Amino acid sequence: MGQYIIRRTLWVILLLFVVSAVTFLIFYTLPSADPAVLRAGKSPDPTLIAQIRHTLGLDKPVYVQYYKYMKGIILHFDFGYSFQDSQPVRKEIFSRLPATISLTVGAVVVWLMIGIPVGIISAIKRRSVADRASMGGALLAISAPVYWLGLLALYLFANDIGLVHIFDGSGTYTPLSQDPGRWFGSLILPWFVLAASFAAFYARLLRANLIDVMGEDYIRTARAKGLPERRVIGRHAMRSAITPIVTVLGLDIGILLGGAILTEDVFNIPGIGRLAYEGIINADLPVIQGTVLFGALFIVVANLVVDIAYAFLDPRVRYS
Amino acid sequence: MRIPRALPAALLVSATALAVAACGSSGGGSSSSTGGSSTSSSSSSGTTFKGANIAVSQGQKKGGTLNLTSAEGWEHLDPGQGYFQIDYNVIYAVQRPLYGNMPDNGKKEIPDLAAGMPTISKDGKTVTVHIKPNVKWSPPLNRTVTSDDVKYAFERDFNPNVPNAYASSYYPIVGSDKSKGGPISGIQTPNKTTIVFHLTRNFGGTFVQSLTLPGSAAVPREVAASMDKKNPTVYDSDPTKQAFDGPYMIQSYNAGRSITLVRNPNWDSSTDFRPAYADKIVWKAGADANVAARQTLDSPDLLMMDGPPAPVLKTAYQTKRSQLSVAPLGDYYAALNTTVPPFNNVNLRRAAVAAADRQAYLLARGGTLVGTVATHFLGPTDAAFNAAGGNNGFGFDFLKNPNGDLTVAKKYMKAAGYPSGKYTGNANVLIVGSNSDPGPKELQIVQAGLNSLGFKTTIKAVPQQTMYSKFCGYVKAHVNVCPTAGWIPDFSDAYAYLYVPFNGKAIIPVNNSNWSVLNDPKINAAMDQASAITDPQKRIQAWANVDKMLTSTAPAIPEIWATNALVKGSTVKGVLDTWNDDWDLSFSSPQ
Amino acid sequence: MTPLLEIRDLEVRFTTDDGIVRAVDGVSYTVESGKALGVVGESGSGKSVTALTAMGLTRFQQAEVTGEVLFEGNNLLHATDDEMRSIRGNEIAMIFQDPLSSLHPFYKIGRQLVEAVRVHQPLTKAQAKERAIEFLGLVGIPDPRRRFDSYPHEFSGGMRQRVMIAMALINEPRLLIADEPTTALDVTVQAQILDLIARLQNELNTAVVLITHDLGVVAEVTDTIVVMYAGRVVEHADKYDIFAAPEHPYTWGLLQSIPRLDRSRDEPLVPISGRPPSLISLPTGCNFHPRCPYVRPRHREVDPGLEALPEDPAHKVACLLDGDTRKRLWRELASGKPPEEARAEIVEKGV
Repeated sequence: MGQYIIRRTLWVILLLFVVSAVTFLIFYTLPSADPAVLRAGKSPDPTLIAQIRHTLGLDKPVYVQYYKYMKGIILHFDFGYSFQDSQPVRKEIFSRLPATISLTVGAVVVWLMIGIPVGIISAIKRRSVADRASMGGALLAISAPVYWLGLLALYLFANDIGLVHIFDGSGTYTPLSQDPGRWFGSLILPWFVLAASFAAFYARLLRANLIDVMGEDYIRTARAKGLPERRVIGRHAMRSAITPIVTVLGLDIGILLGGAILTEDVFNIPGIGRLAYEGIINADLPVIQGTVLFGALFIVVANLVVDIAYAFLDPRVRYS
Repeated sequence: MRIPRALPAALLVSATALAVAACGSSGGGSSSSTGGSSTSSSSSSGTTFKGANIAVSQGQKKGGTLNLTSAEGWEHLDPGQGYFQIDYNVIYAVQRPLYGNMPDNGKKEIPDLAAGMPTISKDGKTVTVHIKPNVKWSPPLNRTVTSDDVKYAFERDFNPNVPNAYASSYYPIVGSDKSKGGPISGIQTPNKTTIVFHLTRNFGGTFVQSLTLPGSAAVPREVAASMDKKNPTVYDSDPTKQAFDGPYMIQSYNAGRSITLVRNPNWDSSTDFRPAYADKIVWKAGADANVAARQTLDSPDLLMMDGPPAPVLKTAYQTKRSQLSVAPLGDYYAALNTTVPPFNNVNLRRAAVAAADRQAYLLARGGTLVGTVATHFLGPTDAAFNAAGGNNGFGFDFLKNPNGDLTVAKKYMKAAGYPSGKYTGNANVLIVGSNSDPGPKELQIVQAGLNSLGFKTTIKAVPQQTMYSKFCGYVKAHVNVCPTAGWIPDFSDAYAYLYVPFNGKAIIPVNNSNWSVLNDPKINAAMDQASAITDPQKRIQAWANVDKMLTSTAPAIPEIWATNALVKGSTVKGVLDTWNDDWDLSFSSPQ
Repeated sequence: MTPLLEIRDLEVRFTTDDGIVRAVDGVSYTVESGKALGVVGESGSGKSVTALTAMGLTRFQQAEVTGEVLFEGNNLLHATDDEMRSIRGNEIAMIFQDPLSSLHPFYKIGRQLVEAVRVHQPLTKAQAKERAIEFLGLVGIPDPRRRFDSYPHEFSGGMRQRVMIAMALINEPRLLIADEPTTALDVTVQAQILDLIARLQNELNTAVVLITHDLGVVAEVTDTIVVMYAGRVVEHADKYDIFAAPEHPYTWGLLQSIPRLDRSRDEPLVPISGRPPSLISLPTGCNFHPRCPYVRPRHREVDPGLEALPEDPAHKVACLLDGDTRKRLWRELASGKPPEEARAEIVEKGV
């Protein structure tokens, strides 16, 4: 196991190298815009562009830029400065991380709290009205665009622009360390909006898994033992049905930690997603590179954690 | 420049800055189509909806916190680097350029850090400015602002670590090209309150007006010099470390998210024309434009610093007009390439202008809320606007009818050698525009006009950025018509309005902004003469004449003079800075 | 004396998208206390569904059930879910074909055994564990204390089935239903498992219903044999009668398809031709007629009932051939003739 983790970690590092190199290449082969020109103003006199290019380090060959960039990361954990607003990228990412983590963790809790019971009830009461209603609702929630859902939630429930003033609206995000009450209040709507499609997806996934598992021989055995149905489903069936969900959950968390762009935008939550989005819009390579690397890191680490967790969840799985 | 609002616009920020276009066509605020279609019915080029609350005096009171919101975040709050409307808002509240303007009069510069209007030598090559002797830096520096601080500001404008977008265009100071951030031989400070600029050419009259840009705001050498050695300079990356001489100081700054301004205790109101009503200014950026606009309209106290999206603008116009303000911004025009057939022929250009349905452009852009039909190039923000005929223009027949006039167009077709009134040459007209709304509509409008004159046309809708980099701004691409172009002047002088878009000397092979590729020696010379005039009235007349020559030469179809709409909360007193086209932080008040 | 289990006219139907499946179509049999009953038939004959229904396990599949399942005289079909639950695993236990898939893969076997004990008996965890270890030993798991903490995948197939048996018997049920307990196992292991079941049946005085498709398997363990076909009992007799004097052509087919020690090696095994009928659309008349070599036109219309032989009331058969013909045919077949030849002879004789 230890050896396995070491080997996987080495792969993670290699993968991050590849991701960073690919991002660099994409940026240079398919430029969205020339950052130097973006900055050079209206009558961009070529000497000014050349000077800005030099200032931003864009006048060096790509491999030299890449080398310097990677050197900065490895030696100083320095991700460079934003072309757009001169901010150190590392600082930007770390200062935005708590917001993204808050959003992600809360949404995960919400979607599990909704998705799991709905999935179980739908699977047990298969073809019932409750099942059909919740699966229909789930389909709706999966297809609803998050941005639209966010606006809808705000126009209905936000205490500034809502029809009924219930929850804190957009732009009220307050760090947990500053005021836990406001932190919680300001995140209620975003959590539900972000969680909606996930809850629906998880409910459907769990329902399908559970229906599958309920047909397994060991469920028949559990019943033949005389176990109460609650225990048959709650323990024996759920234990198996939840395992694949853990895999998906791990990856979803990894992806969301890389930023939930639309939710962060609608609710003006200063997270990584917005940073990444603005980086792309502004051809801001250091920001793009930094957010991509962090996003990739979250995903591969989540993947690793999931794989390791699997060994604990499924005793048949052994890594060596 | 001043810039676009709204997200996609940010992309263009500086590059295409020029690009009002950016602002307009990429849906920045006001522009897009839906908002206007209904509101435009009442439009006629004479009466423009101005909205309420733009007066400088609205019974504002001192004190309180001014709350601001915006979709866009800041880019560079370093006065040497700021080149964006949103950045200007902050910089003008915390730093003092040599000259400024009252919010309701963007056309007339008044002394800010300067003690009075400058002295310009007869040859227009030497400009002397005296600064106020009693302006102090904020704590912890606490000392008086001196002429050396202004000198250092100019040195850093040419420092590679402080990339300034306009210094090389407007500050032709002797020795500046070689200074690289070091001393500039053409700037002298004979005493603590006097600064003398030596220019390389007769440019003083224009130079003085460009001193309203933040690049002239003093920067104390002992604070900034060490920061400026870093790349990027800390003066920009951590603006809370700046020294401030404006009414406010930057207390906290989270890039892209929030900024808090508090009073500068060392600021003396007797030295300043800014009333600085609010005690504190809290500005949260990064909002979704739709949400922020609605929050603003539903709130008592918010000011939204960038333009609301079209649907919200429409609602505001219908139900909350008192919370809406509109001010002129720049102009849109369809550039006609004067170097390649068919529009290397002046009469064919005039015919194209005559055939264009300019009223349709206005509707496509959003109607009255976004502007008026243009009849010449200098817009209402320019001092020479009235001298250039104001709304009616110079009376050229090919610009008379805003809906287009085929009879007039045919007259010019004949004059160009097409007796049937239809083009029979074999040039295929390539029209390239932005593919984001309302670009495609504009392409169709210009195409319809040209087709009615028998031109064969090809239209191409591409991303705005590509339109500039690969087509309209790339001279070798030989694009015949660029109908989604636009221009916002950097300051209120006609030089800033007309020089780059229409002067042959401004043509560069790539990233060109003279989209007509117009290189008319007479016009070039007239511009040079006008920019050298120091007497304001004579300048205005000279530039009005340049505008007349341009309009007659028809290097472009003037489409509309754009306006910019802004929204505010119900009780906050919002004062619009007509120069920067945004709420003025130092004049607006929470109550 | 009341039989331990008596099934009367049991019918089980499932509604599916394709139609109604008549999985069990009027089955009756009895199991005496401490005795072993073999239920033989191909897959789809309803032998497992009958047992599962007796256990109340078809309730979870929304089966439509009529008839009676009397356990010590009480009709289990009328028992509440809770009553059934307290009977399952306690009074009646069941083991299944594939021990690997029948054990929960994520739980240690010890835990699964303890759970089985504690759901029915008020024992502490420690007591339950001791009992589980005792039973693991009883079924022949070496080093049961250590294996208590093993996962199912860590056992061989035979050992897993022993675990299943331990789990089924841990509450000393009155009746053990073993549904194809050896089918998934190696041949050598099969015999050990059957020996184990037989031994425990004696030691614990448990009645056994052994469900199998293999007559060879029941031969060793059971006292009475029920042969099922397409949801019905076609023959019901004492073990010795089934092997020595079978009456139903289907039973003959089953007997001829198993290798026997008393026949020469090179004699071919004769499989039953054709396939079992669809339970959604059963044939008219005798269910077996499409596969029966001795079918007469009348058999396609008349539905044979299960009737006792005049000479032996304990031997019941559902066949429309008359008794003499059946006895003659069996004699022919038992002498090694293929059914075609035997049939030809009978038919020629104009019966």
